Amino acid sequence: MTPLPIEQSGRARERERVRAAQNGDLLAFEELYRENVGRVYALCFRLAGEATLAEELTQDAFVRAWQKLPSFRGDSAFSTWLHPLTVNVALSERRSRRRRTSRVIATDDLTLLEKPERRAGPELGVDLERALDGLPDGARAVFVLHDIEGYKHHEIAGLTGVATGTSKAQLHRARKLLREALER
Amino acid sequence: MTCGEAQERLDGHLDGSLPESQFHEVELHLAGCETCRQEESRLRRLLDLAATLPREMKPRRDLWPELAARIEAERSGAGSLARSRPRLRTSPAALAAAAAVLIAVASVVTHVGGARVGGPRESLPTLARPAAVSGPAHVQDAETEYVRATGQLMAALNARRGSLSPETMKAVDDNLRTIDDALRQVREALDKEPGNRQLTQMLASTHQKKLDLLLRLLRLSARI
Repeated sequence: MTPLPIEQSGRARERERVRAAQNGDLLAFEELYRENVGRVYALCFRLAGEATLAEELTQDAFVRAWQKLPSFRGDSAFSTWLHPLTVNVALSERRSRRRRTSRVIATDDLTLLEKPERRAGPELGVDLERALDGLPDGARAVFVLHDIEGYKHHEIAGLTGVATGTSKAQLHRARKLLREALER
Repeated sequence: MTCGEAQERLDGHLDGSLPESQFHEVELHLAGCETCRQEESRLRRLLDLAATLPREMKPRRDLWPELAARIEAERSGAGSLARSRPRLRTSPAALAAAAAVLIAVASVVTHVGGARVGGPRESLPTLARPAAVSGPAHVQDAETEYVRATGQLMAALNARRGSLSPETMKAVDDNLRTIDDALRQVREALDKEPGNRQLTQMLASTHQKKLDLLLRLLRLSARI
């Protein structure tokens, strides 16, 4: 038997896992989870701006994926299907959870504990991650989706429910704020 | 074309989304304007930097056990996407208290550390988390481990109280008290329903949140 090229055999294995998971095989779904959690978590982390919420959003995205799995026809890679689903879950859940948490807590003085760290090397990627934290939610979401994840403005508009022009304006604002933060 | 107009269009110029005529106008302007060329370089550096960011990150802990429990609950018809609205048969007061605490602790952790644990900025040292909490005996073993671990961390935190402000320690103590109240209530509810999976998960999550909070406070107090 002629072996499949690596990429094709990888897709074939993924299709098998998806089929098994669609039939209720949780072990197969765990394999899909393990293969994709790094990408999903990174996206949730950048959209949420903090780890605890990102962990919750990551779980939410995979629960939603499990729920929607019967509708996945396998026309694309599982990761291609999972990515916009994650964006949807992360943006909607992030909003509602932030609203809930803001009603509960009154410990802002704790932020004073945090001393800014000064690193010896020019770890610009880390600086950018940190600067992303300081962006308003809408601008951060558009920057993450457009400049890191590679979505087009019309796709972002479809995912987030904002107009294409708003997406462009948010991106312009995000890039300006980030440049200022990085050059400070 | 003015500098303002050119800089308004730099995003589209670099993204390749400008109509061809405007693209050439911007090109023409850049050829003769040092200020706008510098602006374009700054923007290009930012985009190059964004392109180098890792597309994958590792969560600070394995999320699968909790996720699998949620999916199992989903399959048995008891689950929902939003964990703050669990459909349980009993103990609504305990669950409400625990849910409030989970939210509160998550926020305290957030407020305490502008630093993002699990991302590229830092990695939090993790204690071994009791893994199996599926049956009553396992719950008891796991809880013993959690109590031992949090006891050690509390002792370490108490030793460093002097390095934290009284206001901070008050906020911390208030939140720890709320967590302990919720732990007690969930524990009582679990005693009445030893096999309740969601209560078990909630107990484990609340213990873990307490551990996470204490670890972060210790690290912060060590930096001050």
